[in-house]
Amino acid sequence: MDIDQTLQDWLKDKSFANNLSYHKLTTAREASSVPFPNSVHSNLQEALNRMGIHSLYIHQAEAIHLLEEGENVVISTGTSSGKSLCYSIPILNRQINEVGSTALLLFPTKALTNDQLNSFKTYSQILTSETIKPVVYDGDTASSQRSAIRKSATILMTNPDMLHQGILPHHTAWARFFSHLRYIVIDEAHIYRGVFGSHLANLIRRLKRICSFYNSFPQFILTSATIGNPEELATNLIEQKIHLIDRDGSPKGETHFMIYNPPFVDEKLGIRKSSIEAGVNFTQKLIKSKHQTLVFARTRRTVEMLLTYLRNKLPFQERETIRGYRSGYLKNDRREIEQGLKNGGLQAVFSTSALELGIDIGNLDAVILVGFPGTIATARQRLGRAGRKQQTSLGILIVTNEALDQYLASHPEYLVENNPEQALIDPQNLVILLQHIGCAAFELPFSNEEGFGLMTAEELNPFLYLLEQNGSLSHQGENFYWLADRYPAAEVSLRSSTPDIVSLNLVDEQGNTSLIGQLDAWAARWMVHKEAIYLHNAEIYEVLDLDLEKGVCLLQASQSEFYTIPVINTTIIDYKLLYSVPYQNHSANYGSLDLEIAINSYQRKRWMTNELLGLGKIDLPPQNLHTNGFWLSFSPHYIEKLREAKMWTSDRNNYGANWQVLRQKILLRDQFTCRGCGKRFDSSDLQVHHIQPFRTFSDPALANRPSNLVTLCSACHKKAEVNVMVRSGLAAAAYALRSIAPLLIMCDPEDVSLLSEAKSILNDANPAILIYDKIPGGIGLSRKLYDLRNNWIERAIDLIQSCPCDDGCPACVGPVGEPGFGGKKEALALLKGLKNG
Amino acid sequence: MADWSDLSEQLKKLGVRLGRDSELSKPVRKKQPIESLVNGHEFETMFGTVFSSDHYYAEDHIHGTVPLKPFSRHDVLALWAQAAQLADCAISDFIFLDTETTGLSGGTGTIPFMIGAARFIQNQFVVEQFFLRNPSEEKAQLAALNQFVDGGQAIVSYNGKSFDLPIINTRYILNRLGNPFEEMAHFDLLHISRRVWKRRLKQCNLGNIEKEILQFQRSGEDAPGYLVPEFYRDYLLNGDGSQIAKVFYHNEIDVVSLSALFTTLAAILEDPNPDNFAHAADIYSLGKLMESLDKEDIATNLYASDSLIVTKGEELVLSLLSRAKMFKRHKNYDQALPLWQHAHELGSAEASLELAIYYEHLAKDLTQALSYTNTLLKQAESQPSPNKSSIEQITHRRERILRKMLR
Repeated sequence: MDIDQTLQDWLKDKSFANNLSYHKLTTAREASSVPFPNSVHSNLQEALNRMGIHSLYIHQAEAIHLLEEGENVVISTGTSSGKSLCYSIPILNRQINEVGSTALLLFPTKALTNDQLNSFKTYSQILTSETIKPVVYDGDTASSQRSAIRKSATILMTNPDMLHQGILPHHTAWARFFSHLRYIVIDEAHIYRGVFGSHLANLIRRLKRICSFYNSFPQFILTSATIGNPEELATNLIEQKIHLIDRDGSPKGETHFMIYNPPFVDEKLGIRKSSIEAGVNFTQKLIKSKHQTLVFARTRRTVEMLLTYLRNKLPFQERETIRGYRSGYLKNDRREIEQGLKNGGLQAVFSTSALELGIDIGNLDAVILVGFPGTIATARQRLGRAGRKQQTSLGILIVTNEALDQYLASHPEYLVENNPEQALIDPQNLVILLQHIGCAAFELPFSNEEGFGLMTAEELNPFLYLLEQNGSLSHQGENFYWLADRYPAAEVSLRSSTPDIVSLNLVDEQGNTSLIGQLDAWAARWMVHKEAIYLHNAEIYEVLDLDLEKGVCLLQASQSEFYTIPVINTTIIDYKLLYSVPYQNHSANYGSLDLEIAINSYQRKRWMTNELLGLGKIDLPPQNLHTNGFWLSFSPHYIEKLREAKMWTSDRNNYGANWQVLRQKILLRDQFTCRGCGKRFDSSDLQVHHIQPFRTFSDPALANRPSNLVTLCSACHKKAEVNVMVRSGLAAAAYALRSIAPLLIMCDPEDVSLLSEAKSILNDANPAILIYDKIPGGIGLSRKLYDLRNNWIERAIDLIQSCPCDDGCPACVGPVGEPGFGGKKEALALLKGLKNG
Repeated sequence: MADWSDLSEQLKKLGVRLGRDSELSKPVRKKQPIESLVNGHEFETMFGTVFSSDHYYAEDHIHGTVPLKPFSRHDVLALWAQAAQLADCAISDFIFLDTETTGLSGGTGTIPFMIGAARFIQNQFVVEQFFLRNPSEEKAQLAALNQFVDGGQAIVSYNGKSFDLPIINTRYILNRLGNPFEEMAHFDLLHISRRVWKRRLKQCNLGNIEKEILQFQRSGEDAPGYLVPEFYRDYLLNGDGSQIAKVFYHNEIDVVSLSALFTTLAAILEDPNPDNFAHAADIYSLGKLMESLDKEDIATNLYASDSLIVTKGEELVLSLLSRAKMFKRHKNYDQALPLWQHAHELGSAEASLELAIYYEHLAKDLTQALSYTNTLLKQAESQPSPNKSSIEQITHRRERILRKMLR
């Protein structure tokens, strides 16, 4: 059956159609093709013909043309647009015309690497070339083969870690390779953001330095998913001018894209029906109509649940036609799944990660995303897997009740039109930079006149002197030589912001431990504290123990029904203002901060519904963090204005049926004395005040407990109310800002932290909201938000305004139990006032 | 440079720990000139001068109990080194090489601050130790080395294939100089020393070989290997040259021992007379080495030697089996059988197996085959931790023989 037909039937079901927040049909697009340019060697053209390629899409031709001109390119067209031909044709072409020339290709995963290897090998065979030698060189390469590879490989496929530790520090063994290096390919460049990207940028500086030693000046070819700033990212990564190619000439079949928002179960609390349930139902419908479906979930746990639920609904003999896929699968498993999908043996595959699937599963009829996967770029990549030629395909995003999910449900344009997400890096982060300068000095001595990347010699010298002071370098005459007996590359972890790392050791049932990964020691405190539920490669683990001194974390596989979020208490010790822009009601400030981070407790939240289940304790000493941040300082007269405009009025009068009785009880208990100023008053002049606001409780009985009630006179009551408003309004605004930030800066939740204070030292004991990079030295995130602050504030306002809840929910200012809940009105008023200057 | 202290403050705030090395706490003195610490001379090159400590030995100098200059030919040694064409190469074209480096990790940041090279020149054994007073002299150091090794055809080293030469090659590339060692053959004596002596000595590092085989005792002026990089850093960074002389001594003896060891090995391989050996283990090891070089007669002579047989050690059984294997290779079962018998009587499971195979498939004497198989089974089962798969295989064989017998 045709997808259109299936959908027509489906849309007749009101319970489905009413919950679609978006449905768009994109008509099919013909390919925009051009013939091979003359620069492509006839042998290669023939080989391409034999592989079924008789022309090029315009973006492929553009890439080839620009590369011929000696330029660098970044190709940012969609999924399955034939990006790899943009580099494989120029590489092969060059190696035919200039025998012995070489190319270096960096891939983030093994699966992608192997697919490309096969492709190059095939071409090399068709061309019957004895000199074009594609190889993979990584940690799994047998030592017996390494020598031969160094001697003769011309197309070297590897990954950043191998380049960093295994190749660059031994570059003399690769003298031939580097001397003839013409192209460097960086695939999936958008993943090189944040800490990892900052490391990679420095790695490239080292690479270019070594190339220059061997007198080569290779061109760069980058591919990227569609993000908001591919050109900027690419330019920052390679520190050279680069041309953006984003006009996609590949053909696209007709596609339906839908966003399904599960209906409310409890609108007040913002709880919605399970997206897993919806995912199972939709998949079942689709495979019934014989549409092969690929379903993506965020965690393996969700994959397992989807699998189990669906299998239970299917007749016995069909159960094996549904498979799960997760990271760490071996080649054979992947092949089985590929075959199964190709020959129709498999009807549906549930997966956690798109990249690992490599390229060869082809495209499918339908793709379902259960929950927004965190970035728009990823969502698009995954949705892009739907679409066979000549046939209509379907993509469905099922959102959860989280803020960003809900925001996208009402702003689908970000998923279908321009992606606003910016991938940011900061290669000048001091900690990261210093580590790579050390590695570079090991590779080649630094002369006094030499810089590093775009850093001048003058900017570099302090680092070299520092390394000399600590005994790593020896300054002799005109050069700095590496003299320590350490191997600096071994001490650098490319994904960590500091050199200190914690090993993640998995303990199995027999008590055996195996290393599953590493984590920045700095981040380990809040990501893998004892009892934390930790996600690694979409697998779920529970932390048994964290020993920061030894750098070891013990974990075990977890079936927990909840996940954990650490509660971070930030104290601002000191700050240094770098930029400040004053406005009528506030000022926007950016600078460096000295913070003390204390993590004393964590929240337990139910998976998928995000319901707060309880708190746990953490026993960790506080840590200092020196980083950069952006803060909004609100002037006290602005707060006054808001209060007077009754924006921040006291709340409803309905505190329950027996309120009057309760009120009397409290007044008696407090002996008609105001607990604020200590004076006695008549009953008519006194008010009973809820310490924690009534509306922040889901249960009135809890709100009205005597411990939460206190007698205050009118004046003190007003003051108390304002304080409450300020606090909850600030917290609510902070929550909204925090939720919407990833839309702009493509960061993981662990990378930034928001803090709201009614009496902040950043603002002379007046209210402020601070966002800071949770990485020592900062990584450019809060800086970008500072630059984009108007945009950011607008969206936060939008987020709050378009939320249908009364006082707050997880989708706008925070769920029940969190400080922002109940502060919705205040937050809106607070933020709106910033717009007017 | 005021800037770096500000940078240092910043980094400290970021939690970066600097000053891992203990050297920071050492006082920095004015550097003593190397000439005042060791004897040597300046070597002139077109890239400047380099300091070298030179030593001259008479070619018949006895090092421990061995003369420096080979008294035998080195044909078999060259054969082993896959450089048979060097059988006729004069000893004066062999370059004995050992380096001292700033670290052990290899890679481009490891500097051989001392390159010890020696060769026989006229009737002397000349050792030159090219030393970097500071790393900027490296080009001169390499140029001087080039001059010294000019005309050389082979390198003699200890673990040089994995360590010293890759580092030296790297230095030539980094300094953009022609590498004279590229065309030379390489005799890495570590590998052949292991072949000959590992069975007996277990530890085959140069120090142990020097002690046990050459019987040379180093003086107290020796620096332990693991402290060498630190002593150099003390000299270079802290101006403390008090220990540097020890590094020179250490390197010098390494190079001299290389020559004595070369002489020893050449002689042993050229004339492997079992009577010259006190240890059965050595005789057996040598036999295996000869066998691997296709010198079966010599191997047999060693395997069958009285010295080996008399010890009645483990090597006796092994040598019986090795001899039998050679005969088997040439299908000479008449000669192999009594050897297997003898080994079987001494309790060798491998011998029992060979006999079982022979009787089953070649002699077609199933009774005998069964008898040997039963012995094998009993042996395998009575092991402290019996190997399941071996027992399975033997049982399989036994059942097959029984089936054949029933036909």
